[in-house]
Amino acid sequence: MIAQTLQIGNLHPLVIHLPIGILIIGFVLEIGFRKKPSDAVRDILLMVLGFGALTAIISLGTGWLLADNGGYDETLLFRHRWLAVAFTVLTAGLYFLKRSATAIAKKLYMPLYIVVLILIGITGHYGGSMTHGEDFLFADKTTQKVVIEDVDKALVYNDIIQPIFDNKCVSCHNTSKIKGGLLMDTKENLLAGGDSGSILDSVAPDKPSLFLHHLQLPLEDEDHMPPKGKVQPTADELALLEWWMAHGHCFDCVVGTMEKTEQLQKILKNLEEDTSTRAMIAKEVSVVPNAWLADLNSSNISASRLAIKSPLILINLYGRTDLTPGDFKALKKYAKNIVELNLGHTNFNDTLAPSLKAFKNLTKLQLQKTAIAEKSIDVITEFEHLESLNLYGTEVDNKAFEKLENLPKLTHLYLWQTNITKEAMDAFANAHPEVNVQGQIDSDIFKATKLEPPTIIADTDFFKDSLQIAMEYVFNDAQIFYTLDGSIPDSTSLPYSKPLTIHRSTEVKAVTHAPGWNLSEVTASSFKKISFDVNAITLNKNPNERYKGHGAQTLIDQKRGTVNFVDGNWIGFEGSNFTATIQLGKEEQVSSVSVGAFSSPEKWIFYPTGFKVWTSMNGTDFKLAKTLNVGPEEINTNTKFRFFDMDIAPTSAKYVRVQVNSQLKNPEWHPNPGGNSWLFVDEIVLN
Amino acid sequence: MSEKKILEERSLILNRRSFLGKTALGVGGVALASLLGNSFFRKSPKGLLTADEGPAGVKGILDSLHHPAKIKRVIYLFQSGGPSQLELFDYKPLLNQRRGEDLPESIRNGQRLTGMTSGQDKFPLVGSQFGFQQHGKNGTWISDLLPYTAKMADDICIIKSMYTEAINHDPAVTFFQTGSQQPGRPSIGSWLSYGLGSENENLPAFTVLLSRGSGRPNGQPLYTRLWGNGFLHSLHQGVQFRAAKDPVLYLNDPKGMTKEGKRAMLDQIAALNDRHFQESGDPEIQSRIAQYEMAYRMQTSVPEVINTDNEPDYIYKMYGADAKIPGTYAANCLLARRLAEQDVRFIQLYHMGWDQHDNLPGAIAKQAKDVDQASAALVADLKQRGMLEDTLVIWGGEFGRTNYSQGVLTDTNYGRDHHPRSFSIWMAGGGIKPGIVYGQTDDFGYNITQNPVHVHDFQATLLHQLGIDHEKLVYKYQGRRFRLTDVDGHVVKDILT
Repeated sequence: MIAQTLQIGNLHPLVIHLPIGILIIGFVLEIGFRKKPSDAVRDILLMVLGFGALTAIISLGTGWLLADNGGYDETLLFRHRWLAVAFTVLTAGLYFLKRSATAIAKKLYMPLYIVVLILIGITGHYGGSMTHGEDFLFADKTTQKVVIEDVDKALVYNDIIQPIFDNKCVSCHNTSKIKGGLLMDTKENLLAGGDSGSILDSVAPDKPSLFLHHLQLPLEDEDHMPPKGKVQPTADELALLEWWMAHGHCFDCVVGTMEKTEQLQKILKNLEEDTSTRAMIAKEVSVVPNAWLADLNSSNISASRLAIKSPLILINLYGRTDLTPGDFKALKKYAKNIVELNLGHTNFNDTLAPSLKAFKNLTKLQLQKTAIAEKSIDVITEFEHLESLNLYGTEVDNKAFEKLENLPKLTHLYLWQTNITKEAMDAFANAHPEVNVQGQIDSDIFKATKLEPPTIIADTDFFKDSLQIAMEYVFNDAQIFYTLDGSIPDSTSLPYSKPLTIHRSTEVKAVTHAPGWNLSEVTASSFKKISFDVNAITLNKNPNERYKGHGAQTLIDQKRGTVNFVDGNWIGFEGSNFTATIQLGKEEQVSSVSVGAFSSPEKWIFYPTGFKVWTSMNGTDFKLAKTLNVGPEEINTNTKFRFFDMDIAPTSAKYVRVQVNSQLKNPEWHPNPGGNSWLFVDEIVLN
Repeated sequence: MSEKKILEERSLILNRRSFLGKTALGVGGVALASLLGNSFFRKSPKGLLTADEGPAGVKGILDSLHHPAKIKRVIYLFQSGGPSQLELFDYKPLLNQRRGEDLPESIRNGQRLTGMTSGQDKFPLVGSQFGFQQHGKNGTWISDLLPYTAKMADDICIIKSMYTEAINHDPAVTFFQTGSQQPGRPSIGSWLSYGLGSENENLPAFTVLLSRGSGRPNGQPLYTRLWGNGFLHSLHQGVQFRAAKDPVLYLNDPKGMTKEGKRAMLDQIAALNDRHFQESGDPEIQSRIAQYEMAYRMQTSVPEVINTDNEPDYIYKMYGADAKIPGTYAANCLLARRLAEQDVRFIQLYHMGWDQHDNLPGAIAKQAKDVDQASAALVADLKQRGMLEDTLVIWGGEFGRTNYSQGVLTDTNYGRDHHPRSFSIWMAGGGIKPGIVYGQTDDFGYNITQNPVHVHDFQATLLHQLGIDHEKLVYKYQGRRFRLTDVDGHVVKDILT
């Protein structure tokens, strides 16, 4: 029942206008027909007055119920209520006077009607003051309502607390009333306090301030503020006031920096008002039914709500190359709800441009990679809410571009790969600093990036007579340059055009070059010619069990180890040197020895520090032919492998012995200095 | 076919079965059914999906977003292994001044250590061997190892106060990806596929690209469950694009099979599956039918999207020459942009090899070179296409690295162990404040002193930008409602525009 009472009471603002209008029209009729009275006119006026009186009674009744809900200024309510009672009684009296045929009734009738009309004015004014505020009619409109967009940035006193005072306190504590000698309209007056002294600061140490004291007294207490009968602060407002007082009634604090409970955070959040373009549009348009969206989605138009319960719609037609005016017609019904339209990479063009006209409320329009030009721009210039416009990859030129000048809300404009010149973009950006004009990314950022080295391709790393070597690179327009003499190649070296053939051991080094790019790093590959057959190989000690490849044969199997040192083509020794003795098939003229080795300090693997080479005819008497000291490795962490080539004075030999020296222990610069370092070797090549 | 529809239809079909089926009420039920008319049971489940059927933009479980979205898609450049924040973003000169001194206990404050350094009796502080310079309008400190990223300083937001609870790779990566250190929950991309569905019916909503770093080429591998669907339906799992002749496995037809033959086969299998579905009502069957169809459509859509032949040279100049080599991080970044252009909702890259326990200076230099240019180029490329506005790019790993050396500290070499208490990531694009640094660590680069951001906060923020309230996207499984952020997570409002 309570619920029903409430609802009927709420009808008061509606029905109140019935007696007002009816009585005014009665008065007009009375004046109009004064010179030509008739029975018909009298009957009509009786009906008008009777109905007027009836609606006046209904208005009074609903008003009474509404008043019971409370929350109104009692002084105003008192006056409004009893004036309304008088008005109702007099209106009924008016009806009876009209019916009466006595002379006195006729005399009283018109003056009473005028009194009733005056009562309508006064009662109505009090009613209006109750709903709209006392200063509604004569207010000083220079004080603007504070709009909080981001509550964290709001000034707590200025934007939150003073507006509460303005609403709930200032009607009494203002310059025309000054109740209790207190003014609550400015910071200075609040600090000055009233007749009882300061209101914000506690007078005694353990007592609350007068402000909180009066605010927190029970409503029935005589000293409660605002007094009973005046509009009371809401629970949220009370919480805000208490929070502000707890922070020493700070006048300059910003909300974001003040401590607050989660509850208060929510109250504060509710104060925020969304003033974005989209929020404004959302207030103006009606809700879109789900069925309409479902229809669109089933006809290949991706349509979705901006968010749950939002009347705003996003349309995504990206990539469609079969758009017709019909597709846009399907959207027309709720075109004003559509705030975002993606037409990127579609067949949209100037011929379809008129279809866009209906979408007046677009805030974001994507037209990238479409064939649009000036005609579409003409349509776009009408979109007063447009914030983001993507024209990347279109035919738009300077002339059309200038027309965008007048879009008031524009903040983002994408113009890469259009016919618009850099100068025009810069001029636009200067004239409209609020617009982020995005052309091509500053090419300096990625200027002269480095190329990768080419790939050197050959069937094998070891060959008998000749070997064909090819090179390639992923960029077709890049040129490969190479050297065969071990020197570092650059863009003046031999240009590569077709595979080359080598006839002797060669180290091929190559780089990639392309205009506008930095030269690549050097890539190198060694190809070894093997002139003699090797009969056998023996080692003075076995390689480590885990890295033994397939034994000593690994070194002469003409299979080169790769960057992956556990591929079985390398043999490894932990913390020791080793010596290999090679037996040739027949006596040969030996002039060079090459040893391939691996290094990866991270993996505790280092290049050899030196070599010794002996030759022998009989396998027992060995003659030292060469000593090479390479020395320990410099600081590095790279994984790499290479051949160490040693030329010796040409000697006839059937046996060759090679000692490979390890640095044995990890160097000082290594993360694990002193640990056993490793030696990894593959292929020993004699020539 | 969205999961919601599947579930709806499942309940319908089960209702009808229990209503009309093998119950004593059977005949009466039939009579009642005819009285009530067909509408009582609504339409029967939609039959087979053919290639050209079905709505554009297959949508997910959410009819509409919880609040307006700032972004439409996410590109997550996951740096697997734990990149050292101290060499890249968190500039701590104090560590260079106090190099070699022991980490004060007041700073370490009982932090749990991994098995790799818990045995160390000394924790020698070590600063970055690489210089730092200030870049951009706000003078952001960025390492010399990242020259290209530094040039994009005005476009990225660096968060220096990330923290996690996990101290080892598997739980830490799993935590970032699924919101739980224990395996078994859906990955971020799966949640998005479940919640939002796919905007492009020809490509999966969640794609995954992997690359190996040159800093530690044989570092830890990754495992497919990181992009798994967990307890969600299998159509939500991430689809990995490989750098090989078959970019997506099992997509190509066997030799000799014609397009028509394939179509006919799929139709037949679908008819059989559908019949089975009518009998059992198991939604995983519909899931499977949808996957077959998606695979069929991907036979044309995938080659199109991964064919980068028509990318001009200046694009390769941006991403670097590596982008020409399939399977590199740079090539994956370029591919990510192409997938983003096709409205793929969640594109996840993983770059492995950041786990530098030893030889950090050498390894991190290579690793940074792998990713620096291409990451910056991706942001720049999206920007000039107008896509950075509605795309979120994230760069970051699963944890940071310690401010002390693992192993012996030498003049030129050191390593760093895992550090969960503070590390740095960056974000760029849709709705993230550009050019700012968020959060601070102490002078030792060990503890966070300002604005900590937990993994769940990060996830909540990511979902928030997509228009999803992280507390509302839930899935009931084994009697509990699960969500990506588990029971925690606050949107980091401070970094949002």
